[in-house]
Amino acid sequence: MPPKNENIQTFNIKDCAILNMATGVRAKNLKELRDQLLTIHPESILYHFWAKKLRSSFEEPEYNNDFASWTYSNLHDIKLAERLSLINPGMFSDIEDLRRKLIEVVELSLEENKSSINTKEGEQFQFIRSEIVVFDTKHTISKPEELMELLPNLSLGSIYFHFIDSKIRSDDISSWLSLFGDEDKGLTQQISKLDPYFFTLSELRIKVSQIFKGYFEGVKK
Amino acid sequence: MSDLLHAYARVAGNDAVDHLQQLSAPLKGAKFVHVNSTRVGGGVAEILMKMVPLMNELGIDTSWEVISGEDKFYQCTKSMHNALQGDPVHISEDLLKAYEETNSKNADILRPILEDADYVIIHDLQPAPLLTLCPNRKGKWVWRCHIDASKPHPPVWNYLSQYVKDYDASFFSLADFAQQLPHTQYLIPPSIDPLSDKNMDLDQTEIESTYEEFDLDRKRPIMLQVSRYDRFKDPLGVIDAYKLTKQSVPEIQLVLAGGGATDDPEGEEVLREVRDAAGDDPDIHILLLPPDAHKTINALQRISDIVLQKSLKEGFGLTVTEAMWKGKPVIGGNTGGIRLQVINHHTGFLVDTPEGAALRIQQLLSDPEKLKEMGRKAKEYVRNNFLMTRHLREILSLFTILDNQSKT
Repeated sequence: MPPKNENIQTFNIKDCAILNMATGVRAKNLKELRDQLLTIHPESILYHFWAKKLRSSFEEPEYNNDFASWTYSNLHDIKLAERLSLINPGMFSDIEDLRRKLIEVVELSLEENKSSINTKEGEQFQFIRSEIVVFDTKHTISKPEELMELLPNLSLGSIYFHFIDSKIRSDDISSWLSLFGDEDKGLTQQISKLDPYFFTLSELRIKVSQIFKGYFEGVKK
Repeated sequence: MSDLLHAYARVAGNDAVDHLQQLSAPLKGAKFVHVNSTRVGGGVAEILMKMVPLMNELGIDTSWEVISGEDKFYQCTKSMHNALQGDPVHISEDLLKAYEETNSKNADILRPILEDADYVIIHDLQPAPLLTLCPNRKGKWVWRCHIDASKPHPPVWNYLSQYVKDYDASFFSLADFAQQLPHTQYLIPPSIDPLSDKNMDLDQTEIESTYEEFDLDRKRPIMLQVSRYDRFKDPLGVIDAYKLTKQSVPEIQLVLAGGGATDDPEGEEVLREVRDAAGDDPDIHILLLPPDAHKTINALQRISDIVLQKSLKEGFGLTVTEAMWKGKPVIGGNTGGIRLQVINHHTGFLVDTPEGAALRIQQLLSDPEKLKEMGRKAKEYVRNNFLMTRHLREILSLFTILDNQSKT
């Protein structure tokens, strides 16, 4: 598919890894979690929603963010874990709104349960931040069909970088796809609308591959 | 790509090596120095033994320096080690003086190398004062804490933090271990080298000969703990777990395989206690192995049915990673870095008591399929998380970030 815009640049596919940093901020019970959420660095909030996906896991994640997982595993509060897990960061364009929502849900639970369980040593919630380290995969593509071919074998780091991290910050893939004009608009919209929150990275890779495949099969017909 | 890098790529994947090459390209020719306090024995020495050649292979001019001291210095640093792990020990002025003087003497020798280096990693507390003793340093200095410092004895941490606070950054294995410090604290777990004698594949004949060498019965189950004779490793708790298991699995054999590190003066005393607890039970095999017995440990881990690391405190526990790499589920103390590796009910079991350990040993011995499946998961978990390539990638990332911060 030729680009409508003659000046379209090639697209470099990246890979990434994250390097974690301790913030020194901890919570041993729900009240402390609420207190720390009031002031914790916004990058730490994003970390606890998204970085989980880059960690290897043996089971389907029961809950979609670290706050919910900790509440379930260490405070044994299933009700709160479900409420926290339902908070979808993709629904909040402003990180401060996401912070407020988290605090609201935690405070509701504090009102309902006056007693607060203290976790054992080593089971506190540790607020973490991370730096992303970006690598060049040496895959350079000049049209969307080429990405369709590469997608099934892209590393999970590449999937994280282009369909989660970049999506939060600049949405580089959608921006590039949109340069191909109306013919790919359907594809751009589908990728842009794709909500990665409820998928593991392997599932997300399959989902994105399906979108590309479905789109181009439709175009051929 | 060199043969060595090819070998890593075969185990860890091409991407892992490619990432290392990308990160090391801007550091080519830079002088990088690691400093610790022992060249043999213990996890730090084992890591450096393999990481330094890999860094050189990647084009980074890397050296490994070791500080040395007299008895008083090691008494002091062992007490500090115990204090960082929570023991309320008092360290006399006399010992602290030995600590400071030893560092000062070592600094006199190492100063030209360290002040000229572009990047320095100081491992653990023994050489921590070197930074303040190198006032004309030009490079980035990072302090690496390998031990479980989650609840350090405050007077000792306050003393040490005066030396640690001026580093450009520090790194710990877990967030629980991080302290209040005026610089960024990164989280980088250690790793094993899959190509080392300790972890490489062995010939079946080499494995088989281990039974004879240590008078072990190949037809009966073997439980193993590999660790220094150190109270925090709880060898007496392992013997208790063995004795409890023996009541229902009389054929069980226990191997305690350890050695000493040159910076650990308490080892002999603990070994005596272990021998007393074992008594004359012919099925308890207490081995005192030399520091270079890597292939022996490798084979022992492979012939064992179950591996334990029942530590009471553990910075990380490389023996856990090693056993998992050999497809063995690990029954580990519910503490420190063991929690990072033993994913309860997946790669092994976390236990708090000898009774808990005995329960899980019996459970696994009675269900060979489960034992095998857990071992398979354990190996994959190590491949994805705890190989040298990931470890070095994170260290190089750390220094890249520090360099970028300096430029902005």
